[in-house]
Amino acid sequence: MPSQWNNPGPGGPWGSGARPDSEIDKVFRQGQDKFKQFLPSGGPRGMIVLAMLAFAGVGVWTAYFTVPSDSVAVVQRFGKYLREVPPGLHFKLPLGIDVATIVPVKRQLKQEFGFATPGAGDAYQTSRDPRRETQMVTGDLNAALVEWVVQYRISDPVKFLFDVREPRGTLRDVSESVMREVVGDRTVDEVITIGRQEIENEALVKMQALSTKYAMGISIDQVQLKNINPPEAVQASFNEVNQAQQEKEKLINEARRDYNKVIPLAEGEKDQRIREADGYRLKRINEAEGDVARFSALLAQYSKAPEVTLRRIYIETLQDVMPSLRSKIIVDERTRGILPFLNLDSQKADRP
Amino acid sequence: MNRIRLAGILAVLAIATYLLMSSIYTVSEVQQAIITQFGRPVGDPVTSAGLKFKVPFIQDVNLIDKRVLEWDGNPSDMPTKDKLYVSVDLFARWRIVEPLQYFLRLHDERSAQSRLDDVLGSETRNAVAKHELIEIIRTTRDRVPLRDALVTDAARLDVGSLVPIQKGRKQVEQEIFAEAAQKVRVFARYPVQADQLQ
Repeated sequence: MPSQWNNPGPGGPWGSGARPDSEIDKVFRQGQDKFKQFLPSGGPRGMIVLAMLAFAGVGVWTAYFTVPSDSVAVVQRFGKYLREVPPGLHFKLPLGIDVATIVPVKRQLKQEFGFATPGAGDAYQTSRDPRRETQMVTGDLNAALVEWVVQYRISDPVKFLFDVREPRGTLRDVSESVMREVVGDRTVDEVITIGRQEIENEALVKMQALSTKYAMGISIDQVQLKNINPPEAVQASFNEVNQAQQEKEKLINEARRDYNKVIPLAEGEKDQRIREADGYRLKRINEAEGDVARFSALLAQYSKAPEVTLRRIYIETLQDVMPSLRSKIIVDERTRGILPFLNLDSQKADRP
Repeated sequence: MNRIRLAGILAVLAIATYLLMSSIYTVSEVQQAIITQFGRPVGDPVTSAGLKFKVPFIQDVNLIDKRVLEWDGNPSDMPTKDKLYVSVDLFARWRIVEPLQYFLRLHDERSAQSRLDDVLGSETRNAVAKHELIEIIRTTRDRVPLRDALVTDAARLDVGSLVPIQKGRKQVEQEIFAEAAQKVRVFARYPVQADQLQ
């Protein structure tokens, strides 16, 4: 690799100071000259020097590595775990003796189930077949389409790298299995409506337990449920049921309104009638009692003095009766030849 | 003269390097190794990682994975005891615990995977056929559906009911696992844990 040669690198041939510092062109030409000297006529010595220099170049090239700020690197020496290094520039033994693997431990990773955000860089973020994993059976043997997201981080890079071959693939399997288990224990109404929070919590706990069991070195931060729908074939009917239910509610409310309009009115009328009847009853009773009292008083007088009382009753009765007659002409029986004079005109006027 | 000597030195150096290279090998953290001498396994399997030595030429290194390995079944429809068809997607995780047996009987992972296909496939079918659909769907036996505390209307309280079960999914999974583990013992392997049912 001649480019390595001409580069005034730390392990390069010119580091010894055999060149003027300022004139890069001259250095370049000099380098070419020397290079030409080495190659055709330098013989085995030149070849060996060349090989050694190439070797050193590769050595330097592979002796350092940088770790990005969101990651740590795990260094293995001859395959054996050596150490974990924080972000920054680091050195290692070159030529494949030390191998550094960079693991993004601080990055928040996620996996999507049942849907796919396009353009994801992580192959494990979405499934090849999102429709498959979204179909589930609920505990009352209904079907539901469930979409969810798992947020996780790599908590233990050593376990993550060395204990499980496909930790992210395993997390996908675990997550799917747990979600089916949790949904399988609930009714479809719970899954679609009120049980969402509980499902998220329970799934999180179970997924964390399983990933700890598998020693995947992954910690799960959140499980979030996205859309939960009835299957497409059912969706139309589902909406119809909902509409029918709303219709039912509407009809009930309307009927209730009509009821409220009519019934209180009738109640009021009823009350009024009852009160009227009550009043009439009281009046009758009082009247009757008054009559009774008067009669009793009369009876008491009568029993004391029948003659007088009888006469008095007679007179009183006549007093009552007489005014209703317009006129009464009383004629002595012994009188004869008297032409009774009748004022016909006045009678005619009174009684038409 | 000088040239010949140099060539000689180079040749010796090359041979020495070759010998050295063929007598050392590395075992990664994720691997274990079985040393075979003319095809016959010698010594204990190497389970620790690092730089190792062997006799050059006559000994070969066979590397075997030490991690938890995946097995993923293809989703397939299976009849249950109540003659309903359910699509079952099973996954399992397994690990090679006896590398020597594994090496002798199965040799490589492809054949191991195909044995797992056989064992787990048939055990899953057995277990599914022995249980009713609901036993495979549900897990906890006496779970009561959630009710919305705000809704007291009797008609709307009806959130559906959970069908009663005897065993549940966890137990079915464990049955598959136990049966499969027994059969797999023949191959001296050990599936770590089964299951995903759908």
